[in-house]
Amino acid sequence: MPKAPWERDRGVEHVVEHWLARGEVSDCLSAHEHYPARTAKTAAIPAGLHGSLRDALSRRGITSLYSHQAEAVSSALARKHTIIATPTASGKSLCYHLPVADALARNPNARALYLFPTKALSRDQELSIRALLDDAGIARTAVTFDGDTAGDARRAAKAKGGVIVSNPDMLHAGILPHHATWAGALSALEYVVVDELHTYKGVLGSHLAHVLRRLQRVARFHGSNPTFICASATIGNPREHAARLIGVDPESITLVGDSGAPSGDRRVLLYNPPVVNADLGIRQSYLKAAVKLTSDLVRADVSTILFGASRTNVEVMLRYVRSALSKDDVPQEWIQAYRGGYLPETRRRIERGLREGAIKCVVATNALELGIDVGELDAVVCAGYPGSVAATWQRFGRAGRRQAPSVAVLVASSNPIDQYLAREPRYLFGRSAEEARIDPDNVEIFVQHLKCASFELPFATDEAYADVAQDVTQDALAYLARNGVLHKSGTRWHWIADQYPAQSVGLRSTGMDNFVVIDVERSQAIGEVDWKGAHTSLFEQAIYQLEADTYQVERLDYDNRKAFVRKVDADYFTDASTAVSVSVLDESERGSVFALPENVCALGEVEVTERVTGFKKVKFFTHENLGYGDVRLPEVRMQTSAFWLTFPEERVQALAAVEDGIGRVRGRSAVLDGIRGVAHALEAVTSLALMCDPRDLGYTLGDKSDGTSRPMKSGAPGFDPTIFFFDNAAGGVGLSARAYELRENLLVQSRELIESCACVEGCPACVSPGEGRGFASRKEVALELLRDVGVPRRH
Amino acid sequence: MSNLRKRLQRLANATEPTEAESSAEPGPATRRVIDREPELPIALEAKDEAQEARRRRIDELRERVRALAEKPSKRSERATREAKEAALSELPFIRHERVDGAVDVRTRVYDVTARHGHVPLKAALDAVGASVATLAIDRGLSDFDPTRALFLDTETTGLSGGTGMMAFLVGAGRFENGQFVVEQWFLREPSEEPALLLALRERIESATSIVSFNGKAFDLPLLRARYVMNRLGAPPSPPHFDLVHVARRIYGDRMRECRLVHLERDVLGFVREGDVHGSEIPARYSEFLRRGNAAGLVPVIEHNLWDVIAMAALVGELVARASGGDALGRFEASDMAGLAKTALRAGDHSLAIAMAGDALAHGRSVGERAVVSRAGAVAARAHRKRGEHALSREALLKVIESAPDDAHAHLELSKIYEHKYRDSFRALEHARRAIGAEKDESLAKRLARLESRLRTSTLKLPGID
Repeated sequence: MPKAPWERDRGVEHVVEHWLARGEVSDCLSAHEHYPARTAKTAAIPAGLHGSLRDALSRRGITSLYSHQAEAVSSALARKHTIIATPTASGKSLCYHLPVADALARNPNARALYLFPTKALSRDQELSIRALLDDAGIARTAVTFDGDTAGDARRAAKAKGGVIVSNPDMLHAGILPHHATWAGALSALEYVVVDELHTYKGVLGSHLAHVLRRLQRVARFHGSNPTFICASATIGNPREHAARLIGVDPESITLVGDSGAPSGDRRVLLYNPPVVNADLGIRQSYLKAAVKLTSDLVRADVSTILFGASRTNVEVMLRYVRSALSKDDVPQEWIQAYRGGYLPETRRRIERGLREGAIKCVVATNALELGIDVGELDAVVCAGYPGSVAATWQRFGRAGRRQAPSVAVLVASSNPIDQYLAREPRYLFGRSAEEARIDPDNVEIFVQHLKCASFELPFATDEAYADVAQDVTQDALAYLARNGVLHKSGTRWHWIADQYPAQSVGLRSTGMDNFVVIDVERSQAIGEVDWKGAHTSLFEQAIYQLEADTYQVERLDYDNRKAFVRKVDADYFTDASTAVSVSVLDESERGSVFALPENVCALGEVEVTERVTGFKKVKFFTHENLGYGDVRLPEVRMQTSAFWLTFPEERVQALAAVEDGIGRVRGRSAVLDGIRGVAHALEAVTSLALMCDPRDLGYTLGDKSDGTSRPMKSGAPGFDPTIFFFDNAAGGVGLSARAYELRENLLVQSRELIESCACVEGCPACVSPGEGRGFASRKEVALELLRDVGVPRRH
Repeated sequence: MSNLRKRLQRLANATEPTEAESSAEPGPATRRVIDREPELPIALEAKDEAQEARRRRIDELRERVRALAEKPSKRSERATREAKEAALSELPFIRHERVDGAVDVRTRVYDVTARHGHVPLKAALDAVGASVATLAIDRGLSDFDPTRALFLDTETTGLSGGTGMMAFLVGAGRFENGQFVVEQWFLREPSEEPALLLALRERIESATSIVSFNGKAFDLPLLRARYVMNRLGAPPSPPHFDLVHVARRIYGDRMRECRLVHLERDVLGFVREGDVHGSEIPARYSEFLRRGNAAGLVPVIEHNLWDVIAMAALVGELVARASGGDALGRFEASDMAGLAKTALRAGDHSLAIAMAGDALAHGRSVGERAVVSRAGAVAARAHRKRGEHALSREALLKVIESAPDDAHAHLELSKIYEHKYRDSFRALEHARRAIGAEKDESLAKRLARLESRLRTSTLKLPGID
């Protein structure tokens, strides 16, 4: 018999106490960290700040700043590039709003540029700087300039936007190529704010680095030299990352890393769902476990974010949480989902509901990881490890009040990495967040932006582009001239091609149009799905879940990017399975690797094909399989460059035949598992060596003959298992070519990485935990493979 | 050709290099073993190592860029230079030394009695401010003086716009002492741009208006950007008569594409021979710069000259129509309707009524119902603006005489009967045939209102007349 709401025990502390007291929860906790409350460290408002802002702050009841805010504001007011890397909700926006507003108050022509990775964030911060300017009586305003801005508003932004709020893509393709029409704004550009700096890593970050170099070059032409203020979530190398993005010496950047914001008492738990079938080692569904913990929290009136890994997970968990709480008189509207693909007005409504407390629980994808303002929440439950330490802490950071206690729970899935974390929680707690890496010197990216920069402003024949040496710049310009896009005339290189280079250079690899989901009964768009996601979620017969309602896709108009759905009352959801294959289109180079013959390693063009092979119907709550269906959709194809490494079949068979002391044969599948381990280690050292993000590289294990069939377990000859490493962007960005050049070095480093790793059987930092086939661990087999092909130990 | 090379070529060139081009490429591939294997930073990068790492990366980038950027031989550079010098002598320009630098210019002078197609250039001299202001729907042009107008057209290195595009050929025509003088400035080298811009600025400064074809959206913004890029003060912006909008309003109905060459053919009666299509022009200039190929530029220079002359002739043709003349009867009914509509929007109601009347008469005689509808609607609105409700009603009745299902005309009639004649019965009759002319909800309200007024009316229903 559930208690009435007023009888129930409430609050985070109560729930945690209850969990710890009850065996069914406490027995499953593989880690429990306690961070006691911290009081605020405050500092005086910097003396240099304009009086009108000081007054505005005091009217808001602010008479001092947190120490990190004061430090950041002073640094920015002194025109030093500044990076603020403090946890979420520590009041980072004020760190850049204040110096920007100060500049606008002092100079009626001054301008600032804000760059955000998503439109939703732009909007929040546009409103917040506007409010500050209003409060301070500064007669200037902030204007959004992005792809959605209409013609008149664009002119207004150019003419009088004190703060121009935009995004890197728009700066790259919409502002810089037309900078002459922005002369007024660019000649008085005092600050550039780059928020969510940690999201710009890998290839995207390398592109942004060049966009910012081009911005600085054009700003200098118009007579300004803006100061950069960057804000980032916790990463391992904030100062270095900012330095490389802006293209300056790290010493010239002020790092503000110690938060002075107070924080309440906080607990972080790692929950591994209980084993339900000891023989098969099957654990309880992590989704259901996360739902149960979330329900406990919401029932006790604790505002909670439940993070899921995918959109489907989020919708399924939304349904489960609502159902679990329906017995407790908890109104259904208290529980909402939040993910990419919701219409903007739906998102707005949910954000507002969270801030105002009308929504108690939100089930979200990583769409809520970034700094969208949802007010202060009490608890975070994360269903599954999000893939990196940095992302985990960022999710945890979405909860936590400045005064009251909070809790964050990571629920481990049955994924090997999650299970490793459950065994070795120190990996999560004892380690700093990953570094963000970029490589602006990637020659393909460099040349593309050199073209854009030439278009924007002819290079002088003695000019050096940003921090690239003069002779390198000039050689590259000569190369472009030989290809007919530049012409040297007098002391300048002039752009003479009839094209607009920024248009053919995309900063992000996702370029295709979104699909719109249309409810046929209301003839109304109810959601959006990105192009790639549409293949796995909008095939005909798919169940499209939206805010706990189920719709069935009746017709998919692929060419026009529309899915027509009808509301149904389905007791199941659909789960698509996909297969990735790589086929070689053109082999341009071949090489040897240590003891292996000349032909094992190659570089070339490949086609990566992702195909939805079918779907299954999964019953809500029980997760029973109700049947399968076919999917007929065009494959998602991408042509890109790749390098591949083949393990000759005879070696594989020799290693598979190895016996342990008691006569067990290792078997081919264990060797293939070991190869996967090698691939994982190779990916780790490659992304480090090439300074890219692991997502920029794809890898798959295939067969080199045609790449479509996976090696068979039977060990049929002729299947040489091959690791394909490919650039995860159509056309390629030169990563695999570099990896090919460095292949032996990378293999040596892989061996070193695995050998020096302190784990026993393989962990996410080396070979990734294996599937436990055969008697040897993945780590052992991987090392054996590397030794077998003659990879030496690093001296 | 190595993989990297191939991809970089794709990066450098939007278009695939031609066979000849790629084989002319010097041979050595970039396939190359890095002899010094760089130390890769596997551990956390220490601060003092950052500089060193940066230097190393630049060295690597240098190697990679060098591998693809072999220096062109001195001989081929000289050959190109010589070819260009020879080419310049083939082009019809005279080198004009100015204080700010040299500029290549060609000046062509035409007697104003010369005709372009069937329009004498002097027709443009009849342009009076009032007509031009009406045609352009722009009061700013009320003082238009054809003898002080600059007819401006540019040929550019690209068509997509943006700061990297230059005008390499600028044509500017003006009336002077009974002649039409066209100057064309040509950029033999992009570095000479400032001299060209300054020469052009002098002409703009002494003009009181600019005439162009799509110059508001294209030529003028591009030129303004060029002044900014060269750090030259911006030229003045006198009132601008952009013919593309006028032409679309008047001729848009009968011409699918309102490009200048089409107007020239269909309106002025002039067909260019050997003309070059606009989309080919940028490539021809880049051919000239890269290889000194001048032959391709000759038609471009003529194209630009034709454009300037055609604009002058088109102004003549338009103002003749706006002042009511159509001696040769080339003006079609749809053109008249277009002009009537333009005049209405410009607030010139008497011209609107006159042109609409012509369009109505002409349209009815050739049976163009769509034209009749449009002209009738314009006449009705122009009369209504002048408070001439009876005439307005008459115009609308003429429309439904030849186009009985014109819903808009019925709606307008319904309004006139309801509000000016207080005749709910006729108003209702017309409203019932106005389906689609306004939003369904508005029409429903209108019908309901009229019906209820009829029911409560103490008058008997009027008889049918």
